[in-house]
Amino acid sequence: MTAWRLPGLLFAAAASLARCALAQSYGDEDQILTIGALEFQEQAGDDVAAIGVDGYLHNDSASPRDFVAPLVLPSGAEVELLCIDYFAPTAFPQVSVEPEAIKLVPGGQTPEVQFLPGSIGSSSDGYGSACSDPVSFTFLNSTDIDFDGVVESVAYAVHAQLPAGGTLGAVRIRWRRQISAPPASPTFGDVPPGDSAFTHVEALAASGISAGCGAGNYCPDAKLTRRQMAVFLSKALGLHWAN
Amino acid sequence: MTTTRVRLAAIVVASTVSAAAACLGQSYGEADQTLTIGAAAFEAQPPVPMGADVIGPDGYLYGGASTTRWWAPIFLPDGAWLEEMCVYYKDDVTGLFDLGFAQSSLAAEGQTPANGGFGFVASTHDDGYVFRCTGINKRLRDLVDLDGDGTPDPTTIRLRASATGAIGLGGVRIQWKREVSPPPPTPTFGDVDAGDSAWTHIEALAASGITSGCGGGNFCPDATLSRRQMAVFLAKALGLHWSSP
Repeated sequence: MTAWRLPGLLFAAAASLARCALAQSYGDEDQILTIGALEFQEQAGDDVAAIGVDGYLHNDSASPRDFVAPLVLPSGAEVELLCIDYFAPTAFPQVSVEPEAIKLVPGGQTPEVQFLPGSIGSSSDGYGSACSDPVSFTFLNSTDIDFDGVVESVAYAVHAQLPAGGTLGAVRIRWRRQISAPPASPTFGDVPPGDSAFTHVEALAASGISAGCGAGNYCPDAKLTRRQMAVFLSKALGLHWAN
Repeated sequence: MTTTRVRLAAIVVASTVSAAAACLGQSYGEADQTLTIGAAAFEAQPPVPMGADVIGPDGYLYGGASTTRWWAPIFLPDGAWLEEMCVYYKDDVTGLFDLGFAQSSLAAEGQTPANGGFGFVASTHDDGYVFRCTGINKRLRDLVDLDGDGTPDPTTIRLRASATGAIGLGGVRIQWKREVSPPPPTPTFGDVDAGDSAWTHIEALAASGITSGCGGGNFCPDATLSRRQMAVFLAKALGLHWSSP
């Protein structure tokens, strides 16, 4: 795909930056990742697509074309809903979008592209928006995506098919962060699975943010000093690299 | 070309424990994490003829008989420690393939951009799907003295792949971890000197604007924290919370 340069502004770079910046709200609440038209590239690489004056990605050819954009979310994110903004010249064929997972394989295995829940089709001609049925899947870069008992690396993408003259403005994905599942056996002797903060304390341990208070314990009821708070926070966020 | 692909009857992505992570700023703490960059993130530059830059039914990106050069942006926090890179690709006994990190400085007026690279993985001319890894052990910084003039310049970093023949690029996994930045030469707070066990961490909080101490030029490291103070620290640190409508 071509980078479209306006005076003083390189759109492709800006769009790529936005992809990451948008995925950076914190907490467990719902949030939105917007994958803009600039993120898509044509699957067959024959350059029949262009960004129009409306900012939408246009299929300028006389036949349907497939496009893909990378889908990047934090590992463990729960995807809840996908929506598209489109322009369709006619009600049918539809502008359609599906999320997909690409299994990355070492030798001796067969790679696969799997569609994920959350497919969307345009619901009218002209400009419009449409959303998938509600979904619930967890975005993981290492998972047994094909249930063969082996954990593999997985890359994610959004796949769009635009009919002739069809356009796509953006794909919007509603998602939220989750605290990871705890390990089978507790890390700390004084924070058993029945502890009200078990999953949270285990997540801190797995992230390298806390190694406990010594002797295999976490001391969950001990008071925190400001020094300890500073270590927790700065390790958690990887602070602070000044230029 | 419209690709065909495997559609499974029921697809539920298993919600299992994973240490993996995705994009810039996405997982926290100093434990190892991974960034996965799939084929869809790569684009051919300069543009190639039709049919010479195609995502196949296997989700891998394929070039053509002439050399295709692909680029993908990567985003990691300033100060990230790069440990290892693994490349997933479909090799070809006669094809040529290599992939690595490319860096370019952005030039001020009167200067010339400089280019550099590191961490390259090259084809071993196997037949079929393979992945190869290489150790990196390098700290990424936003400012790098690529041109060797003694002054660090703003620098972009990306992945660069070059392929000739029936090579397919599946993706790249980068193993990295966060680090806390080095402390300043002189302590910010009178009661947290360079010998303090948490000196670097407290200086990092001060440099980030998350704390200005407890007054009088001190941090009061041994004072306990109230839930009110905890709330202020956390909310400021994470920039909480602007909900989406």
